[in-house]
Amino acid sequence: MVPRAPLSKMAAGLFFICFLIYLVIITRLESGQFGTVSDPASFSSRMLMNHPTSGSGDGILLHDTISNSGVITAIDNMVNQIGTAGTELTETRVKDISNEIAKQIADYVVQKLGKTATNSNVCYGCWKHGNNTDLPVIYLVTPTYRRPEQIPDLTRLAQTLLNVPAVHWIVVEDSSSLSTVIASLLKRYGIPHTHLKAQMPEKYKKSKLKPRGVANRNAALDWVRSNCKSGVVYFADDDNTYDIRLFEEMRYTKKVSMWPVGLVTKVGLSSPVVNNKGVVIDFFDGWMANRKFPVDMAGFAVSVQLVLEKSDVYMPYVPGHEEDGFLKKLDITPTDIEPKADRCTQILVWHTQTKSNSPANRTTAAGKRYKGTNIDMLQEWIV
Amino acid sequence: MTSAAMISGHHGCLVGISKPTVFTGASAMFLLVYLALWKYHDSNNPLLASASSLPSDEMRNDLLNMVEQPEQFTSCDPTMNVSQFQKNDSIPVIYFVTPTYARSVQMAELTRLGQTLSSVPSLHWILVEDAPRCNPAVGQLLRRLAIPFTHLASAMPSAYKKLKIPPRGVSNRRAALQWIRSNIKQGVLYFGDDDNSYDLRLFDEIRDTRNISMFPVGLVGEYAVSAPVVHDGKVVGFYDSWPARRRFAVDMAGFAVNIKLLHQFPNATFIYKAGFEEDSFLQEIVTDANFIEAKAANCTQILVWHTRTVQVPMAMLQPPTLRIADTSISGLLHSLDEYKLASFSTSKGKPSSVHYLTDV
Repeated sequence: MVPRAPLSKMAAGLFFICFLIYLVIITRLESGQFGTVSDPASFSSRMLMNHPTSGSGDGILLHDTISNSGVITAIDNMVNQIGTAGTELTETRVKDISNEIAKQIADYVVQKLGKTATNSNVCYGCWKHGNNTDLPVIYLVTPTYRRPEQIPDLTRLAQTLLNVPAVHWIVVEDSSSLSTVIASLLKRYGIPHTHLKAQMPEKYKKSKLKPRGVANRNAALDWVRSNCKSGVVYFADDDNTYDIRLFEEMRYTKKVSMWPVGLVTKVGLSSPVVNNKGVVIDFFDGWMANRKFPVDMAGFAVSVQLVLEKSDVYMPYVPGHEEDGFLKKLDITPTDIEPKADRCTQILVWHTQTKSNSPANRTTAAGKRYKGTNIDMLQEWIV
Repeated sequence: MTSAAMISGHHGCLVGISKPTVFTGASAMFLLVYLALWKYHDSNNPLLASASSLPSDEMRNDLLNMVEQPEQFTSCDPTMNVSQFQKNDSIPVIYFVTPTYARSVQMAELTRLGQTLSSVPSLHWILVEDAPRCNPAVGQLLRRLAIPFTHLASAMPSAYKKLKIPPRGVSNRRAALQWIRSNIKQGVLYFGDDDNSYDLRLFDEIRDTRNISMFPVGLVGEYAVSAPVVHDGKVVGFYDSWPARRRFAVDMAGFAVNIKLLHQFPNATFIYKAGFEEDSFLQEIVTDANFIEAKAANCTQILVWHTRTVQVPMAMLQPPTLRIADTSISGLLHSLDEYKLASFSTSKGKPSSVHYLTDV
């Protein structure tokens, strides 16, 4: 006689089985069910290899694909040169060989015809201006530090600068070594540039309010003093937004020029106030804080001449007072200030800030599943 | 529980614990574990909860009716000549669709995006404002940048504005799709939000899209990237921290569509379901996953990033009293108003003042 199993045991067992089934369903859903990949697309070497004519090895049918015997000989030679002996002929190998042949042909065509072709294809992703203009050069000083948003911010700033002639971009990294990614970015856009590094002095790294970017800007001032004779210096942080018209406004600065900056302080604006004779008489800023010059870093430019004259003036390591401290040491009077942007009635620069993202979670990417795939390679670019 | 049952007796009855209690206990435990796991499954996605629930039945019907009607939009610049590209067939035109809405950072975003786009040849910018009326400042910006453009205005239906997570940009993109279907025969469509960052090389990559192309987008989700997984030149899956049972777990900025597909599938459009806009649209136009072209060096490069800008609340100001008349302040306050950086009220609002240089 089979003893009846206790009800509690049955309930527990049933519960356990349901639980297992539930787990199985959930994991299957999470593993991501996308449509199964069906037959390969029309043009792929696999398709060609499965094609009835190519598999037969029949000489006549092979010749039907190419009618020019000279071409056939050339291709045979190239295949022999690239080499098929000793390697297993997989689909990938055939593709590699085809690509190699195509590359050799392309090189030859470019060499043969390229000499006579006119260079009409000007690179659109590069700085379009020459270095031979008479325009005063704008030395743009951009401090930058490594973070996930660094490259996108520098990318869009660079792409704005492509439209600006006679500019020299001084990028100063807060780092102990120069980043190769930034170096290649600078090279790719072709904007005249100088790539420097400078680090915040140790004693400030522990303070609650760090004077950010000061060491970088001072390093740039040193470079300007050693390398420049004339032009304008402008401190351009990498996350602000610059209307390209701003650069033409500041280009002819004789001593110090100023203009409104949008989106800064609680009144949404920081700007000089100009009277009807074009003289700066006041400032409109949401954070006066006992400053003589309550301006934002992006709201003024200084002529190289003044920077050279006052050769020992640097930005102070006082958070919030970097601009004011610097301008005070330059010994300027209000009448020295040149108001720009249509007498300070236009907003041509905004203090935008890019939201910060937390560092990437790389656990999934590090798994076996993505090893050797494009996901693995992408990790190199992720901060 | 099992061991307790075994120990307690071989006659098949438990000592001290009644059957109903055991049953209730088992069901309760099962329910608890089920709920706990379900919550965990959902916790990756805060949108799922709200997205799947619609308010009430009448509202649901209203919403469905709206989905079927053609999108109501205003054309802000009817004089723009669209046929300028149709003569030059050799370079495919990229139609760059940007939804935008009024907020303090809007003019800044459109300025820097426009300055990037002005370096791209053969590009037509379709800017659709989420507003009932066209903003003239936006039109001025477009004309100044001299990029071929279409400026439309299409407001989000008010029913959706009340949702906890309103599906943003849907009415804009629907309007853009309608405009393209009525006016454009060929080209490449790309959805570019106004706060993302676009590398100029991206445009080279998408220009020769034959059907649909996909590529990585940086700064999306926990993995800091949302990218197709490519094997042997084919897209076989997606590396995205929020799969959420989407067939195509991609970001709006991570794909481009050849416009012929829009004509082939004339009803394919975006639905008002936050988080699922891309997937629903793609499911309608991608019939075979093999047609997906992997761009950006087989999806190993990041050429577009989902950057977001810190929102600065629009300042509410009382206009400053001026000791000295006829200064630049009035012109400046006008700019603030035009660019929606601040609004002015004599009664409410923060008092604002000018600071006088001591040695004037």
